Amino acid sequence: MQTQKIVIEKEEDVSLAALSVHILAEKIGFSVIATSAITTATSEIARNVVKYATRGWATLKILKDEFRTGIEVVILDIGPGIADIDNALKDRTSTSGTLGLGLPGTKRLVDEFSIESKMGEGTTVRMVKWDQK
Amino acid sequence: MTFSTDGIVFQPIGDAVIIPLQGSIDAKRIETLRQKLLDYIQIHKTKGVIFDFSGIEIMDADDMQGFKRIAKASELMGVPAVCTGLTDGLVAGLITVKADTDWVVVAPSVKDALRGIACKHKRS
Repeated sequence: MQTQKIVIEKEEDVSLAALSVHILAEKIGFSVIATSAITTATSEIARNVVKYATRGWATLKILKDEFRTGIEVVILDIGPGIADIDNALKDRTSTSGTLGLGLPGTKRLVDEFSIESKMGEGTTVRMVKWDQK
Repeated sequence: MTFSTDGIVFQPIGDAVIIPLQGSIDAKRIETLRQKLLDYIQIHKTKGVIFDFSGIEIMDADDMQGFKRIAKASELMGVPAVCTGLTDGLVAGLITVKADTDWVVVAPSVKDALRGIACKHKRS
C-alpha cells in the first residue's frame, strides 16, 4: 500500500494533515462518523507537534484485511518528549486540569492507539481507524 | 447584499448576519474572522450573528476554542452568536475529545436561528 507523508512544522500543516486524512477516508468509502473520527484524531495529534515539538511528520497508509479497510496514521516528532505518558493518557475533568495534549480523547476516537516517547528526542503516536463493512 | 473580505463571507439578513463557513479552519483564519466580525458588528449595528458550519468537515478542540473566543467577543458587544449546520461527524468527534462546547448556542437551521435572534431582541 502506498504511504503518504506530510511534514508538520506550522499551523497550516495541521490542516493539511487533517485534510489529507479526510480525503483518503472519503476515497476508500469510510462512513461519515469514521471519517470525522480519524480526521479529528489526526488534527489533535498534529497540533501537539506544532505546539510542543520542533517538527514532525504524519504518515498515512491504507490497511486492509479480510473483512475491513482501515487507515493508519503515524505522527512522529522531534521534540522534548512526554515525561509521564500514563498521566498524559488519564482522563481528567476540566476543573482538575489536563496536560492539554488531547490524548485521552484522541484514543477514544480510534480503534488502535499507541504512543512512545523519549525525553529529549521526541514522540511517536500510531492510530488506526477501521471502518466495518 | 453579501459582503466578502479575506475569504470570509458576511450575508446580512434583516438585523442579523450569516457567516457561511467553508473548507478548513485554522487559528489564522479564526483570528481574521474575529477581527473582521467585530468590525462588521460595529459598522453595521448587527443584532445577531449566525455561524453556518455546514461547509466545515474538519474541526478539533482547539478550533472550537477559537470559535468560543469569537462568540464571547460578539456577546461583549451585545450581539448573540448562534451556530447551525454542525454535522453528525463533527459533533461526534468534538464530544469524544471533550471539546469545550458549553458556550455553544445551537439552532437546527438558519431560519430557526433568525427567529431566535428576533425573539431575543423583542424581549429586551
